[in-house]
Amino acid sequence: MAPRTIADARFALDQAVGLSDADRRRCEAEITAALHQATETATVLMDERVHHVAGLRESALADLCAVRDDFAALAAEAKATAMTAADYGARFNDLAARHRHAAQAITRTEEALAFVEPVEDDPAGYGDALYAKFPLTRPDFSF
Amino acid sequence: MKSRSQYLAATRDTLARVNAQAQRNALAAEDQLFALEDREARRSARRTDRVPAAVVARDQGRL
Repeated sequence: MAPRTIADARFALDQAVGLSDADRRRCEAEITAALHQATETATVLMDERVHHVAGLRESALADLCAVRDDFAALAAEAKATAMTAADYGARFNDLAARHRHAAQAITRTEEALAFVEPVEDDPAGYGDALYAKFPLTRPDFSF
Repeated sequence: MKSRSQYLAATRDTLARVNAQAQRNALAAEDQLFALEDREARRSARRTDRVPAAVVARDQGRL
């Protein structure tokens, strides 16, 4: 048994001569199984990112809506009352901090999208790239 | 079908849309802060101006 990347295994099979049809089918089946495993690995990693974003989506959306409305309410209150600039500034700074915190969810979502988009295009390729990067995780092939 | 990417892109767009509204309101609120600071500075300047005027009047024997 030889641990290989799927690309290596494919190359080795393509170069092999004199294989019987039965042996070639067996090798192809091993490659197919490895592709499934690589796809499964990529799927788990993608789902982790999606799950993370799904977990923060509702609270981030609620926070951003609240901050948006609170900014408008603060400005309106200042026009309607005799609020001092110091009081107003303190409340404005508090809102700005909440805004910065809430907006981090957008960055996290963009990071997740940047990871998932190419992997979703070629999950088996991503899984095989992991096999290339981490040799101990490579699948065993009989050839 | 790239369902995960679509979900993430839609989530990003939704959050970004609300964030843009929040940024617009934040800018308007910041303008209001500047207006308050201006108003207080002008009031303070008027108060400061009164003192010399009173001093001048006293010095001129009008007080």
